[in-house]
Amino acid sequence: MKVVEFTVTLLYIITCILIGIWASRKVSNSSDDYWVAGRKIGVFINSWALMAALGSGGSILGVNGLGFRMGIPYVFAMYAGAAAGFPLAAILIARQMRNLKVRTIPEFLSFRYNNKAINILVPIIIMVAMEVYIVAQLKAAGITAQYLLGLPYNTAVIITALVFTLYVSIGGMWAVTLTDVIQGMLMVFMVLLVAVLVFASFGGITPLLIEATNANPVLGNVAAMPISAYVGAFVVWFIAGCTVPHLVMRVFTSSDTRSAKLSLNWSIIIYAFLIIFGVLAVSSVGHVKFPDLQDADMLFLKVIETYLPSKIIGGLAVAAVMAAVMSTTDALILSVTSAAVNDIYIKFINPNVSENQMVRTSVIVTWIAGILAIIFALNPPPLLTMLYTAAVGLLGSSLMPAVVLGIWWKKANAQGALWSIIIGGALYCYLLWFTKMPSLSHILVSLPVSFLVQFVVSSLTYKDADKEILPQVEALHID
Amino acid sequence: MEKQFFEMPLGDKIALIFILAYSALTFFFVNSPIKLFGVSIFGWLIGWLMFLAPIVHLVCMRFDKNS
Repeated sequence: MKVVEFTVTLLYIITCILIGIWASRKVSNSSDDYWVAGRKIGVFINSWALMAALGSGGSILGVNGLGFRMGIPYVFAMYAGAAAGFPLAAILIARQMRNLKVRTIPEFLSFRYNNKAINILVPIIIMVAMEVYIVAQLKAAGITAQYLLGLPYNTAVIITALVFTLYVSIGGMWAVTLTDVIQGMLMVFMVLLVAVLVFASFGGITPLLIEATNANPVLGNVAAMPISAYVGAFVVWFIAGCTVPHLVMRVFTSSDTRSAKLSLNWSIIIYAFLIIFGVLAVSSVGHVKFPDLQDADMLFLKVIETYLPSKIIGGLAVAAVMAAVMSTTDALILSVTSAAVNDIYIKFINPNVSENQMVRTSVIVTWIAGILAIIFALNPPPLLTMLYTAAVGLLGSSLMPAVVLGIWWKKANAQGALWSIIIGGALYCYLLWFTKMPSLSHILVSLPVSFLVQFVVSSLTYKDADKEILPQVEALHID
Repeated sequence: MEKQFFEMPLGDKIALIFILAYSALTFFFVNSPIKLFGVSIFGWLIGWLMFLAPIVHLVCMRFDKNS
């Protein structure tokens, strides 16, 4: 056990729990406070919280390893999709979602389409996809703590999950938001610190890039793979900002429409610094200092060991990686809880529940989701990477047309949305699991088909009764 | 004839067109042999999108009275 590093990480964990306890006083009697932080979050806080929710363990460990293995152009293509996706969400959904004052995506779909099948199907898709996403993040936390702290994998997974489940269950969205701000700042500070130290040791960015690409030209080359793999990597994350619930929920927490749009944009500018400077420094120095590294995901941890000799700073670096994992998983687990309680329990099981009971039910459901995540993460399925990719792609393929056309297209109706959700989702899974298409390119087929289904079925089944909702939808476009 | 789509504010429309056009154009450089400091021009162009997309939308929001 590395005592100093462990102590710093422990201090970080205690801080998160204390924030949860403080936040619990704000959310004890109000479900709006529990799920959307009372819709009072301003631009600065929301920008950092959004950045932290997007920046998962993959944005620190995975991105640098991917850049090392596949080259800078490929990793930039993938992460530029997420970066451009946030302004896309600000343009396509932020104003309307914020104006409707809902708490979840299924609640919006219920308002727009009022269809029982959609009301049941979408929360289930979201719960499954988000739970898979959490398991993948927990696995990353376990591997990190095992390597940097010397903790056994199972212990690390259990501690990480218990900590974020505890502060989310008692503090809801207030706890998620405030911990995410601290976690986001910690992540950016550590990555930029490492980047500056690496650049300084080579005399700047360009000398490092030239030396690294001379050592291995693969770093700067477009990797030898079909262009559809590049476009697919971009598109999967480009549409995520509009459909992945733990990101969309931050729009609901904004104090107003302008704040929602500004935070989406500012968060991605911070995120761009994290990714671009991180990759240029860490992936590049990997080819100079560790050219024979077998496990690329270990690269960031190797660079930390080399460039951050202080044990305290090293401990902060461990905390930064744990922060990246927790800041995403806490938002994910809240989205699972909101889908289960807000969209299924209240709608179909107990519509007359009081605010107090609703919060208590949310606490219980959060713990069930957290414990399930632990069980799966202790014995992660062998196809975890595929399942995790499928989770994001599934949400995009199934929900993007229903959400975006529901906001912008007057003829969008329930039949079109339902078939688009079913066919878009099913086709994506089929292509992913039963065909040999290039990596991440499946979305390039399933997404257009999903849009086409919504257009065709809505047009064929459109009736006068579908116009009744339009004045209310139109009102969402006006602040 | 009644419009089938709700009107999008001008600033948002300009930003959306920029993001889609820039992204699409960038992919035409995916096979380009041009390199800058050892990194393919495609890498630099797509990397710049991470900064340009939000900055362009922030600037374009100024055109939108409602924002």
